[in-house]
Amino acid sequence: MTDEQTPTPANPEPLAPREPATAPTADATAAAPPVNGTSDAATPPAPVTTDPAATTETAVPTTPAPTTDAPSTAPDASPASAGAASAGATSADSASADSATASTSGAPLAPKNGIAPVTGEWVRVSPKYLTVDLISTIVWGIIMTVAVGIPWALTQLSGLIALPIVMFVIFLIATILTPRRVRAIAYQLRDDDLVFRRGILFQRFVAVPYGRMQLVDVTRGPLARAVGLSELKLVTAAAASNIDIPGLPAETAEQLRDHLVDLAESRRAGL
Amino acid sequence: MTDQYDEKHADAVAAATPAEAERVGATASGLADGEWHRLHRATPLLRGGLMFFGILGIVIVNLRELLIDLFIPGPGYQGDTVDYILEEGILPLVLLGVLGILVVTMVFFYISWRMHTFRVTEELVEVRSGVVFRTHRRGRLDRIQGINVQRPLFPRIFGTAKLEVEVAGQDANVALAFLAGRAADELRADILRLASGTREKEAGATGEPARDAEGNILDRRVHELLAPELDPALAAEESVVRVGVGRLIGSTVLSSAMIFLVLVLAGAIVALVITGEPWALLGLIPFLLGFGGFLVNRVVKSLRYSIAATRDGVRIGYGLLSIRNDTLPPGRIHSISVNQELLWRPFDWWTIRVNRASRSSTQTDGGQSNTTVLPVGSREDVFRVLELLLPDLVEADLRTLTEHGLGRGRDEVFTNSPRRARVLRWFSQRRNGFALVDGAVLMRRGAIWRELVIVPMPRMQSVDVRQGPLMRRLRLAAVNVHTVAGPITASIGALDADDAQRFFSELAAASIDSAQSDRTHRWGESAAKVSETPAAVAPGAHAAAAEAGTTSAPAAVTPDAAPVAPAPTPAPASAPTQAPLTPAPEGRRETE
Repeated sequence: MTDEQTPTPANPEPLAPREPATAPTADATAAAPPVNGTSDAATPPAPVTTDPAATTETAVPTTPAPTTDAPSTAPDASPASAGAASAGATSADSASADSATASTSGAPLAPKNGIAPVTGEWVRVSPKYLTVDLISTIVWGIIMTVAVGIPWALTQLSGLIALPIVMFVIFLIATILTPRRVRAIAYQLRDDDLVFRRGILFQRFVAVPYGRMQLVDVTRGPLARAVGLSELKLVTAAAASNIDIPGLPAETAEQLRDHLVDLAESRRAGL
Repeated sequence: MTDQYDEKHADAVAAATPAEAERVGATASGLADGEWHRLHRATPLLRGGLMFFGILGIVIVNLRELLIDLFIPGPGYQGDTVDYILEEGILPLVLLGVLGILVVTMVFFYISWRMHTFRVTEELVEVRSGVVFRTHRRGRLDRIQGINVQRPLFPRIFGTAKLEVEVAGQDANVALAFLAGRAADELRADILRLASGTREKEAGATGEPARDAEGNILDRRVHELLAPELDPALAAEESVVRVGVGRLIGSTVLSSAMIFLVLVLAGAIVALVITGEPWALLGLIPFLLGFGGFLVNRVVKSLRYSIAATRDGVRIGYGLLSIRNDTLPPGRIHSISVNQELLWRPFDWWTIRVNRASRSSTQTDGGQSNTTVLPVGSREDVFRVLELLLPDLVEADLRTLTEHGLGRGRDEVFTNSPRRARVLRWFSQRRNGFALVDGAVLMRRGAIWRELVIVPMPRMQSVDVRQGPLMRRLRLAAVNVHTVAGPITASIGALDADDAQRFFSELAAASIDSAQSDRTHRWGESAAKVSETPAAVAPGAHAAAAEAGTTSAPAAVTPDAAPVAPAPTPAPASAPTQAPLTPAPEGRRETE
């Protein structure tokens, strides 16, 4: 079931500074060129749903294939084209090879047949976050495997070796899937609310009105600090609406926080 | 620093005309005037002082011999202490010692009483307390989530009560314990008036008329002990919902807690029969005692339950020996759940719980936290209570909606789960569904334990939609409406994916609109503003009345209306309201 989408006029302020088009244009996805006007931000292209590559949705289900890199050919200054690309690219596109340098422009990764309740231009987190996530997953994996392997090491019962092996396999899978997961994290600043998406296998979209934001937090762990990233946490009166945007470049995080605080103040709604 | 509330002052105020009452600190109780006041003189005793004496007594009795040997040297005396005292002629000494202890205790109590003060101003309520460790707690009046007045048994005998101002958060309540009973009621009315934003001259009659002040102290105490929990002058009888004792007991007997108890007992008996050892039953006794006590408590503390609509919101009162009443101003209820235990189905009984922003980790004296609004009620009671809790939904629609919501199978008002959801919802697939109306979200869940969840639109914090791999395979998705933490989770799963996405978008848009137009935190203000707009043109007046009719709770449109208006009867013609809580025609409609 294809997700047909009409791209909406892009948000006036895409706050993530996208990496300058490091386009490995070589990456020539069949998808992109017909779709992008490469052109003006002014006019949102006509319903681009007829992205020829969209049919590729039936193609390789598991390759992440970031079609997303296609629009990197177009100057990143044109949000509309990015929006258009995202429209066609929400379904996996097999025709493209993985690009060597992923950029934050373009659509977040989504499974085929997934839900896409929000159209518009998504801002992805920085690809440098991949490093952070990988390292922390590996470290956790090692710690947990060792911890679970202690009973085996102490007692030398052959059956108990299953535990560390299972733990190792689990973390191995998690590590392999990390690049995909990172590419699926994105947010979007709409007129009245902030929408956040996360996850590929378990997809989740959250919409938080600006007036409901009680607290905006910017935190930086040691790993994140080393690569210049921060994490933005939003708190509302409901504990369940936890929005946690990791992997934002530090500058962007600060700007976004100030922007959100301003918006929250001006739209302050009661509890 | 003015002295504590005293009866003479109350008499003066009660006898004064309303105009004079305005002069006298502008409040009926005289306590909400921005000055620091002290609490009732017996407070340290009531707050645990009695415990102190009890413990002291026990200690003395048990260590009598030891203490005597310690203080009165000499050969150990084998006889009775009192004989010893009389023989040795040390009676004056002993009496002096006892007196000394009493004096020290009194002094300590007096100091602790003096150091405990409170103040209620236009904007906040503050309490300062503590002798060694001082605390200063402050709550803003326009952020209160509710007020409750509790009268536990022992303080009730003294004629005192505890007033608690509930603020959003965990254990954040500002408690004034203990005040004179009448002062507590009047102070409650004053605080509600201040919190509602009503200006003084519109205040009209106070919420709780003063109980009669004549008669000596014994008469007053007896009157207070025997008085009905809900003063009949406070709320019109037809707007009050009560829970009968028989129904209360029956519902507890048929509840799942009781089923669990019976199962455990049965299991123990089976174990007994099989093994022949009586120890199984013995081990059960503490469990039985505890659990049984819990169930009995649940019944006893819910006696004389009543729910009524007052000018300042919904008033819930209960209790027989220790009584308590809660006032929930409009807009403080964050979500509502109507649910039914399995065994209640033949009787068509339902219970209503709510989510509130203020939570206390200590159970109230009732074993049920302050989130249960209706412990058990018939379907008709449920309709009436929902009308009290959701006054801004048009009355007729609410009843129909609830009918549909409590119903059985597929429904045309609710968007239901498709058939393929049977994989995830074996029994409730037909009942599982949602409905989005002006001002609220409704969700139906469950077939064995039926549930209807209602979230008022302005109280929705955020919304999310999610889909896992299994749901993706079935083209389903789940939507979760976030509200403040509480017993109710407003989420619904196994919806058709397109429906779910549409629901998500509509919710996101609707919540923004209603959040911006919500004015319930100053409900008195909106009512006042409405009543001020001159009813010049008939259509204008009509519109004004219509809008007022749909404002928060039973706000009296005319100041001299009865202090109570049952859930506002909607204006006969159009119910306007895009945003249900827009208070007044123009002017006030601020778009932010």
